[in-house]
Amino acid sequence: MYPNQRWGCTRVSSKTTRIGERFLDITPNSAKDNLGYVIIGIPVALLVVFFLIPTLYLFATTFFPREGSGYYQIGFTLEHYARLFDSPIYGRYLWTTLELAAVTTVISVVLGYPIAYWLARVESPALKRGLLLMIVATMWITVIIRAYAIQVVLAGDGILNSLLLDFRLISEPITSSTGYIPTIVGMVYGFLPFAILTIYTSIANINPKLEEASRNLGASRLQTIRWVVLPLSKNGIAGATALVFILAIGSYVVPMLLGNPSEWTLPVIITEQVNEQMNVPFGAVLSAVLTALTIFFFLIAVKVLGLGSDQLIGDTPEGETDGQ
Amino acid sequence: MSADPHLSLKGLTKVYDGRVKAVDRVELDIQNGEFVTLVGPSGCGKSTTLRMLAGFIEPTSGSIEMDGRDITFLPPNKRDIGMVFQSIALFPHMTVAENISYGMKVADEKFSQSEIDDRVEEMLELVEMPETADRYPEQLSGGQQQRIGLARSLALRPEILLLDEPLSALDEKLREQMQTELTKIQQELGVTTVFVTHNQEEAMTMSDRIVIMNDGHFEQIGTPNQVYNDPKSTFVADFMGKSNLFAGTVTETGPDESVVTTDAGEFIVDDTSFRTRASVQILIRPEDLMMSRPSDSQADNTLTGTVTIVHLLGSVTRYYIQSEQAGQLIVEDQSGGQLATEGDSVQVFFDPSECCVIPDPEPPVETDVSEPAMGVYQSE
Ligand SMILES: Nc1ncnc2c1ncn2[C@@H]1O[C@H](COP(=O)(O)OP(=O)(O)OP(=O)(O)O)[C@@H](O)[C@H]1O
Ligand SMILES: [Mg+2]
Repeated sequence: MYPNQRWGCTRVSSKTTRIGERFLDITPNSAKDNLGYVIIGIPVALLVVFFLIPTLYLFATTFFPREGSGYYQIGFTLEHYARLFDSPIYGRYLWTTLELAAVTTVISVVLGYPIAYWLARVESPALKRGLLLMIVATMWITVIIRAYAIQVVLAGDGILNSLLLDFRLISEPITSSTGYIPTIVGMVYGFLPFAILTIYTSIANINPKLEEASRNLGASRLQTIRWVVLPLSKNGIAGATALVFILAIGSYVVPMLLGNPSEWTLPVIITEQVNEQMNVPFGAVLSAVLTALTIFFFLIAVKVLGLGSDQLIGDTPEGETDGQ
Repeated sequence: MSADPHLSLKGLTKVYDGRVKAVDRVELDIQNGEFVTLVGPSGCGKSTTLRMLAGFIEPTSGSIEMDGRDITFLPPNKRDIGMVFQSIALFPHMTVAENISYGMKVADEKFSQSEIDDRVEEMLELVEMPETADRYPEQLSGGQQQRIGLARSLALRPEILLLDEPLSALDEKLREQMQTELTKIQQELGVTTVFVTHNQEEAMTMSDRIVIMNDGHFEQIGTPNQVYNDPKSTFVADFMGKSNLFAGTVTETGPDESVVTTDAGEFIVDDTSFRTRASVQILIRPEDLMMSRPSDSQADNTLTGTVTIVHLLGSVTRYYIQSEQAGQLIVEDQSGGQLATEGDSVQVFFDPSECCVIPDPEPPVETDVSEPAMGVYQSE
């Protein structure tokens, strides 16, 4: 309700000192006093060197003028931003990025929910472990190989079309190796495991006795899911939505390999600007836009999920009542 | 018996994973409005039995009938059987009122808002918790939550109410209070009730009839008085309270009395239903065993020993006595005074009419448990 208080800087810094103090408490010995700060200091230093400084440099680059040779020099110009707003084509790329991400998110969450529910309620622990392993295993295969696999299946003369044609369900191929559908399929394939695992965690935390109670009170299976399981796993759904959407905005390989130019997302365009057009500053501008977008949706997610508060993701606090 | 049973369990059996025989061919007829308690040690199959009645698990064989209608495979939401869970299982995202009216909301039959409100109010009054309609479960104490759980399961006025250890999560005092209240509500509504507990005292105070379960089968079914004073097996005797048991053989039978010879000596009992040479156990409840100062006169059914421990339990005093002939004996006295102190030599005796004779060894239970039994009664 009061988002500003939730992710306020004061809170973060006060937490950091508190962790430091805790180390001090454990080791009053002055030689060890600094150990806590060292332990925190290493990742902080790594983040500053490899994340914060490059990000700031990237931001600075957006203002650097281009040289005739195609490279850039230190200086100040707003021409790259002007280009962004002058040319409608980048708005379209932005829209494509958001649309693909949104469609992917909706499909992943809608498909992922029943799978996650089923997974959470499988009785045999061995079967459950096997299924979870299978889902995680899909993430081990590099996305490039997966993209080519999807091409093989969806190509005009691919497996899917041949099968449908053989059974005379269609008269001409309905998919091709690249385009909107392959792109969506590729992205959903990539992000579905994230959706399933996020939702799974939250459903697994719901006491199954609640579902029995619901059934006992006369509710059908569907009513039970609608009125008990769904409301109690809403944090999981919100978490999965946020996660998949933020990941999908940054999709690069799948739209590039499986998309036609009309499915090219901002990351694809950024690469193209930097590697082919040799326009690093404009690539930086687009990167800044993408970063801003990601931060914007991340903040929305933080607000929806209350991540900034002391509450954790998942539904443990309210979903679990089987304490006895 | 008299009327047709309201609920019948016919040869009900549940085998988990093809190996664990959790419930083994149990038979039970429950009359309308009756309060029946299933009691037994942990893992004996009480919850499994109840969950079959509620429809959460399908029996491996056997059937369940309600008013003569077979409901064995009816889904749980079609059964008109309410259930109160041990873990309470209130919906955490709903208020008390929403919890209570949940069944009305999901019912095919449409209830008007005023009907729902009236019913919620009525139920809250029944469990003596008005004014809590808008609270969330987490804002209630454990005992209050359990009452709302009860109110929720009664809101649809089920034909049968099942309670699986609903009070075990509560502390002693609250549990006793809830016991009385539950009995009162049950009588008020006249709802047929099957109650599960592993607490024999709870079973004794609340039930019309008690079913003692052991290892998947029903050891004995009877009124609290029957199962306490006239147990059919040493298991029941032991489970339903403290007991003094003497194993022996019937050596003489007469028209009014029999004589049982045990390691502790000869005892006269008034049970004449056993043949001579039958192996039996004599059960004497601690309150039926009397104690006095040692005397020279050798009366029947008398043992001597030394008091080892005295427990003052308020209304009763319990004496543990070490007897040379019979090992440890327990005597409970309700007269209020203290009859002896630790170290005293005493004489302990009982009236032939106060003891109960139990066949021993228990006839081997006719189960074909595929798991090999550890004991002597292994079949095949
Ligand atoms: N889902 C299951 N799968 C396999 N075995 C089970 C399952 N549920 C229960 N059992 C076994 O069946 C037997 C009876 O269990 P049940 O839960 O009915 O016991 P109970 O009498 O309710 O015990 P308690 O007093 O501890 O609740 C136990 O041996 C138990 O281990
Ligand atoms: Mg149980």
